[in-house]
Amino acid sequence: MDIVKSVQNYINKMVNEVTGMKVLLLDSETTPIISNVMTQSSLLSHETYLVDRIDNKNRDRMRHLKCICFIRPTSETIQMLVEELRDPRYGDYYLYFSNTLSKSSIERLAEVDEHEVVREVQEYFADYCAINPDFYSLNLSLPQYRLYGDSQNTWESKTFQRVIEGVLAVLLSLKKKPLIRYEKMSVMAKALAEEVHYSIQKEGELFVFRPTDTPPILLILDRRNDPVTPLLSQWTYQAMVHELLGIHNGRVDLSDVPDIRPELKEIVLSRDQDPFYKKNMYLNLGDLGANIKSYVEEYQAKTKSSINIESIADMKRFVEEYPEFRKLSGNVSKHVALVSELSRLVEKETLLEVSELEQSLACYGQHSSDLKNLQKLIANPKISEDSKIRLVSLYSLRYEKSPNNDVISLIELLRRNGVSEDKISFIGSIMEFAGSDQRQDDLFSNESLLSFGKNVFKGLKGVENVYTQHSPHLSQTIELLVKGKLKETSYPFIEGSTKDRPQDIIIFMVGGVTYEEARHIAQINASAAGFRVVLGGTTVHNSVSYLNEIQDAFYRFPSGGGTGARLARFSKPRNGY
Amino acid sequence: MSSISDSNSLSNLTMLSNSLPANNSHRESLIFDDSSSLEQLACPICNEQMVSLLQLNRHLDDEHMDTSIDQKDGIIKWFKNAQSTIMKPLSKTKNNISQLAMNKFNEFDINGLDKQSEFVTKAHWKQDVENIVCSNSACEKSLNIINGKHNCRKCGEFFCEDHCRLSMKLNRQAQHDPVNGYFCRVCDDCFVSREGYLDTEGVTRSCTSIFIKYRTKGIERAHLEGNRLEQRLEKLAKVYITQIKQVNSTQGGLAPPLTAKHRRRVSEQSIVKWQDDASVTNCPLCRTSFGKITNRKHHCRLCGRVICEKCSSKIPLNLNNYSEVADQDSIGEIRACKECRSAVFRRKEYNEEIAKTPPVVMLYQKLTKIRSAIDSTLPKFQDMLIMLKSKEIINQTHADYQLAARSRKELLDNFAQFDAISKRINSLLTYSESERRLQSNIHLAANQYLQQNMLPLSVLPKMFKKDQTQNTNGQQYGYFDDDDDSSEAIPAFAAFANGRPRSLSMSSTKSVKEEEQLRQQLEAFLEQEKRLEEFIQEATRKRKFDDLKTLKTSLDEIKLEIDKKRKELGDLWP
Repeated sequence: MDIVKSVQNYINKMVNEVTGMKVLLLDSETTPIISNVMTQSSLLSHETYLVDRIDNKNRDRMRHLKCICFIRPTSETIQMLVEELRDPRYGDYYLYFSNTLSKSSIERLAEVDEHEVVREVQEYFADYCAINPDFYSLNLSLPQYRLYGDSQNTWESKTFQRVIEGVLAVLLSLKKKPLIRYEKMSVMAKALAEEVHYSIQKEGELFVFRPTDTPPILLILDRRNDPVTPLLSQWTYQAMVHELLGIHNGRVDLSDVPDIRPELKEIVLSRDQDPFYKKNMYLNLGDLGANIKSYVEEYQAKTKSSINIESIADMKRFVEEYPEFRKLSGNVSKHVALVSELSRLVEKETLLEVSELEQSLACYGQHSSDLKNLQKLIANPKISEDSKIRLVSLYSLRYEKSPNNDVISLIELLRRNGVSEDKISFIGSIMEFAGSDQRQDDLFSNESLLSFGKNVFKGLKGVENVYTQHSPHLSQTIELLVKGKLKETSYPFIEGSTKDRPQDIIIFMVGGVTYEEARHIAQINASAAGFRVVLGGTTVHNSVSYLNEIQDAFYRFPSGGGTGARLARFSKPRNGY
Repeated sequence: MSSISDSNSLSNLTMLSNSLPANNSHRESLIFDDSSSLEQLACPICNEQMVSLLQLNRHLDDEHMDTSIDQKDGIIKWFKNAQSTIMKPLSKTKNNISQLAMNKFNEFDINGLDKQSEFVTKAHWKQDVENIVCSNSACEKSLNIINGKHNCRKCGEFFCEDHCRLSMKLNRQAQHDPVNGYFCRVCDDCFVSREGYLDTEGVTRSCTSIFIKYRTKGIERAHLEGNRLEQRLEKLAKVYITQIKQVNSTQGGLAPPLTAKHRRRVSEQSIVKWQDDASVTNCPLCRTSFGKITNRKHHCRLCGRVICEKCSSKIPLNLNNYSEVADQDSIGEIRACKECRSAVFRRKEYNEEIAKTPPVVMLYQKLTKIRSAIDSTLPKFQDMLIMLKSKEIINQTHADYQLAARSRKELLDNFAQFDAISKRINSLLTYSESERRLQSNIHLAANQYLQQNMLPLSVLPKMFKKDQTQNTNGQQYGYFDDDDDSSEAIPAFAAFANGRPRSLSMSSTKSVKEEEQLRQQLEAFLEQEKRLEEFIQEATRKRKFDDLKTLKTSLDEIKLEIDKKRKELGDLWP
């Protein structure tokens, strides 16, 4: 179950299908799918010399090229392809579709192919972005794709269709016909589970695989069951870069970084191409700092040896090592720039202090000290508004049911410190959206006496790193699942059931996943405990994108009302005074 | 009495809490549910009474280890029954099992996995010997009570607890069988290497045949339409010809041109019926409205429709329309609408366009040919080197050595040619941005290929060299051996490596061989000079000034060396 390899396999098969000079024609959705797993040079080595978009109308006519089309079949792209085939710009066409192609689409395409340029028509189910070998995303983000329909329990229909197809593609590319389980509280998870199940039945001929020891499990979860994880500051490399700078299809935009060198304005983070990144992506900033230091030293040692060219032999060696050396030098400056930018941001926004309180709120919570710290941080002008909002949100999620919670005065404090009303309204949104009435599991382990005791114990035990204590709710769910202890009452099966410990688990999270969860999954898989997990979701969130998605949804919900209505819940007690 | 019952219930509790998870995790036991109950536990072979499954197991192991398969089948059948008896009270959480059995069940919990393996053959297990270590390549633990000692039920090797804790389903022959197998303890390797486990080939589905089926239908229709129009075109051509002839024959009389035009129009309409002017107000293709002066009405001579000026064009009339060349003895022009025009000419134009081969295609074909030649000789050459090394062939007159030398020469020639062609492709004239991109990308890919394959090759001769200098102190050889004396492998010359580049000792008389050698060296230096210059250009472009400095020093050095060589050669041949 290595989804990066699965996607790479598909693409290699496409570009190896035919020899000769080739052009690769993509659409807006298949471009990120490919750019996440392939590099320019690997495409070049397969004689794919040009890459272009099918929606680019100004492509030149080059009949001596063979054209590999990799297209997500939608009505728009089929129309573009029809126009392309009517007046073919290239010699031969090899059409690959990232999902099932309807009969009528085949017919339409066949009708216009008067020059008989099409050689192959295939369905290759690489219909998702593979980020890590065990982590994928459907890249459904605003504004192109909205998740929620007209309430927090309904799908936007276009997105829903895309998600069903995406999940099916994941299953087909991994060759799994799973039993489907879903989170019972989530209406959207249930709808998706049913629809995926129906599609598997419908496409029965595709889902014929060799039997497995235990049936694979597709577990459909809802982000709303764990609103905490995307709100936390991150300290491991991959997660931190996404939280502070944003990783978009493996690329990081550094153009806003002060004094950045022009070639580093946009950098690529690729596990395959960058051994340093691969080694360090799950390490926290402390370990990362040490590693980057030794990386720089290694580089300096190499530079020294190459400066020291005194004989032809030295020079010849240098010339041989030069490409390698150049690559290293580029990589070193890339990571140094990235890490120094991260530490600059941490310093600037006093994120260490923020994170300490976040972790305390997320993991154990001692009300009086938390409140005191929170008030102190809100008053601190160095801390960004977004951080303050995140902190108060965490506070209100954590102490929602606590009788002496003081959200109202905190909101008042936010106002007094100049935080905009617009941002403050998020606190109301998230409570409406993922308050304890909306969640099915005991997220903070504070609802039963037993788990409360466990919690206190956890606090006493002491931790290695104050900033990375939190472990996402997801890891607990997986632990229960592989032990066969995940309750059917809260995670029912769509059809069938098994008590076997699953060996292959595919998770899809409605509402987005985080890199923190990706790291936990990677750790679970590395432990090789006899089961494999692949995690994915509608998108990969950081706190900003998560906030935006919820805010966008609430502005549109007819039931949501204005900011005032959502904040009303906090002012009720005050009216009572 | 009460104290006993207390302890009873207590142990019942512990038993339950212990065995329940086991029951969950090894649910295969449910497979056996259908069998009838059997009250007693007795060995099926010797009928000895047993108190527990575990005891029975041990008994079977000890006493009946070598029973044949037939008997084993019997055992299994019986075993199922026995097990269901035992499991039943447990699943109903009744407390009527004897204290002894309960204690044993606690063990069953731990050994549950191994229990299942009893069905699976042990014939392939490795023999237990003293001081064995875990067979996992990354683990060197000696196997004992603390580290555990287990046979992987599939491969039979010994492993420690940590490397033999996974479970997969095996059949009685210890082969993987996900449907009818039993969960057995296996090692990591067996777990991972089962069929399909590491498969990364996703599902694909081909729609090509359906596509072609649909296309064939459509193509036939289009061809029919095309043929029909072509026939009309031919008829029109014939009409024109006869009219021209008539005009020629009646040259004497002054036939007013208007009538000629009129006659032609009539004959045109006899082939294709024209649409009535009055019935059309807008052009059917572009929807612009017709006017009396501004946007006049025209008729397509092929389909007869009324069409505007913009949507129609004049097409040439040929007598033999099927000929490949369009502008051959054209006898006139007729107006045709866009659609008819493309229906008639599309195929022809497309084929013409396809037939044109731009220069880049030819060069690229050459490039591919060379590349495939390199791809086939390179591995052979590397094998040869390994062979030479292993046989310690150092004599240059040896046939194998000569062969290797030849193939290396061939490779280098091919690389040089490859490089040259790729550069030529890059410098070809281009007419569009895409062509520019295509050509520079081909060049880029070729450079990539050279970097991957040629630079490692230049390291290889060192091995040659090493053997040579160490043993025979023989002469130089080939292309890249310029660094001969300072080769790091030879301590005697290590001093040179830190010193100045060594110039060849000058002797007043030089053999032809030496001269040849010098030439080769010079050639190598020139090649390097060229390469360095490229690197410098690249470094300048990428603004890597650190690299640039070192590169420039290197270049100066090599230029010095080239001058020296030239002088030497010059001395030789004034």
